[in-house]
Amino acid sequence: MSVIVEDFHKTYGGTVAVAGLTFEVQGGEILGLVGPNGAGKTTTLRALAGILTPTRGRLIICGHDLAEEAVAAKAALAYMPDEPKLFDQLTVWEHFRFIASAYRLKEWSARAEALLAQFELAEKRDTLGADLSRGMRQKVAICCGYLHQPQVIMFDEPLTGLDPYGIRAMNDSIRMRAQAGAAILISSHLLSLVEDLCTSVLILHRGQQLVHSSLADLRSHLTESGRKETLEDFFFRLMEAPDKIINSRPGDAR
Amino acid sequence: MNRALWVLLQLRYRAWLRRQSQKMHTLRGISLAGFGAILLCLWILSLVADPSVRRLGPDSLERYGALVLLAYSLVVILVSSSGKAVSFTPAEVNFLFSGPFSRRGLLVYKIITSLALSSLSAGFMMFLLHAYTRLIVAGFLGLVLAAAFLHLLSMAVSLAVITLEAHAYNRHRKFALGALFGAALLIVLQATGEAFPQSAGEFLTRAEESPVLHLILEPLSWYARAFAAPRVWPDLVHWSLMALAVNGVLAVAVIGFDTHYLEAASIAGERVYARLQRIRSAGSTVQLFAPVKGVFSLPSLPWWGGLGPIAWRQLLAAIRSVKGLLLYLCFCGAVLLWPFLFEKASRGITNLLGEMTPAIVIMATLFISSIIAFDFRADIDRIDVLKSMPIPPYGLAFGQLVTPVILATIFQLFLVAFLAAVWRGIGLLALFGVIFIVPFNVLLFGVDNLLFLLFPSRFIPTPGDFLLMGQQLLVSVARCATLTLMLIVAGLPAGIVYFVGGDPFVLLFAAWLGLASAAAGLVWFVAQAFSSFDVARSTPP
Repeated sequence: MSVIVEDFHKTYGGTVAVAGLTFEVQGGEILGLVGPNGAGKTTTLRALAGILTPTRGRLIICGHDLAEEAVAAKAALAYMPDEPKLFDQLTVWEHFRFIASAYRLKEWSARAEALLAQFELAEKRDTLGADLSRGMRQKVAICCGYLHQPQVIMFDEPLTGLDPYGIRAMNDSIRMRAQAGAAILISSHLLSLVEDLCTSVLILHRGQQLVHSSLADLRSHLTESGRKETLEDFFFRLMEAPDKIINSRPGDAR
Repeated sequence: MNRALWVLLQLRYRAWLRRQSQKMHTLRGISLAGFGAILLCLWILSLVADPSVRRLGPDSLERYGALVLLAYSLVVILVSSSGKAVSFTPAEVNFLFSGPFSRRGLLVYKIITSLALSSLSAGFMMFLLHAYTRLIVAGFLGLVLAAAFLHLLSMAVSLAVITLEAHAYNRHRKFALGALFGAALLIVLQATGEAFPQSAGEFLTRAEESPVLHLILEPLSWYARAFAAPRVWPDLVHWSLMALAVNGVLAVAVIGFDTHYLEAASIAGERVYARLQRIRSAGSTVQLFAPVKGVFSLPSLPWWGGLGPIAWRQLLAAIRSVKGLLLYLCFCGAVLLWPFLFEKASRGITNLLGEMTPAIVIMATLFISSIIAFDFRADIDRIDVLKSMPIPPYGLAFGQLVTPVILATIFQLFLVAFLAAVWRGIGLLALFGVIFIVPFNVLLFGVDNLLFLLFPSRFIPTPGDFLLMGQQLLVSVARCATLTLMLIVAGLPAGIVYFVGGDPFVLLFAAWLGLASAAAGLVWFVAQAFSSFDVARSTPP
């Protein structure tokens, strides 16, 4: 199992960001994290990336507990935040050199060249991070994330700032990584993207898990109940009375 | 001005008040604000009570104030690059430039915001210059009027620059500079007359008699006279009205510039905002300068427990900031060494200064610590990136300290060499001190980073932010206390050897070992502080 989340809680003072989240993501699976603002999506991803410490619960990446084997767990994952944060004084290629050094990679140049070509960054190879546009910075962050061929990849709003070519390259790359066996988590407000790309979905509301299901199961469940709904329709129907679901079916509410 | 712009000004003022009051809702906020207020009061008291400042007094300000204002004005003219003085924030560009507002209306809005800020600054400056004024109200009004004059002059120059093409501006500027140089030469010739003046005072006295300078200085002297006015009526009213008239003429000129400045203003605004963001994010004024492109790179460093890649990245950042670094370090070196060079004439203290080399070096390092902040302080917005990396916290913390330690060591060695060259030989203590430089620097930057991770704050304070002032005061006290404590701990092995009566070399070795061990131990604390840094809560806004 690539990602295991057990009873994950995160609180800030009196504010509960995430309460009792439990789910698993296997290699090859693409999980879409969906929910309104403040649902706890980014908090969950940041905790899984080892950036935030859970208030309670266990987070396991490729068999490594983040609390006990943080370095080994982090070596297996890549996290791409919604706001790409590059080092202003480093060129694009120097970012790759840094990542290769930090993740102790050997023979990475050819892979880096291929990523530059895939994301149409070849011309920007020697451009400083400070001189890149938002979309370009996003692409560089994605390439840095892919360079060490992580087994777990987490995206927070991956398509923000990308042009149509970038979006296509991004979607293709996500599918390819999943086919190669990586476990992928995507947090996004774009429900059409989730429906198109993901194999399973986890809907959160105010830090609590409303629905966790494979998309195939969800579709057949909706068909069986006589509804011809898209994920977007289902999401809005769910959000009309989320508390009813939380109170009636805690945990997996499928 | 459009009513909506007044509403915006009002809302921004309320937002500032709200932000300040929100910080006071916690015990920590109240305590820090209290410390800040105490600090401010102490500073004001020290200024008011300092008898040395009173030697000059309002008479000298009346005499030289116009000259100072002229010097400021010349600087304003020289540094007013295209659109800089009429730059708008990105939010203002987004909402106002495309909104139903006239260009002139936006200029009035800009003038009012600038005046509001300069009034706040004038309040602080008033205390600094209180010894030169006779009436508090006159001093404040004089400063506000002078600040407004400089703002309006800067705006007028910027708008003139935008109006002319860049090429034409360059030619015009050259012409204007030539004219200014000619006028200055004329004044100097008139001032020197037949015999060269014996002193600066005599030169100024003669220069004041020059009709050209007199003509230029006359309107500027009205601000100085308003500042130093002895009575509200008729002096203050008379001179402030005269100064106000000059400002009015400038304001009319600025608003009358019916020029398409919006594009240049938005570009200048983006540039200014980008600089501010760089400083805010990187925590050092070195970042005022954009990273240098095309300079040589560095070969990757070995892994070394994670230290290598982190140190490599910061070293590269330092190299790319070489422009700002050299400028600031040269400036700091000049400021620190100037008094000592001046005192060189006095042979009696030469030996004493030679023995003081370690103290000078330590003072200089404390002084430059924030300038060479290529460590956690420069990564305030990238802590999450660092946390997600597969590098052990201890290696990461050590890696972050490598660059400032190297830079500080180079600076200190230059300083020691310079002092040795000036006094032809330095004290024995300084010579032995060199071997302690590296562990001491690790200790110093370790303390700075530890306190930063425990009490993170941005480099740029907002005006009147007592809470931040209080926090900075507390951090300074904590810095001195922690550093002293660490040095005491580091000195323990040497103390034991001293009391046992060991060999001097053993004593030296014990002292070095103690310092190095304390430094290594401190890095562990830095690593712990980094591990427990909560990016969601600790990152300052």
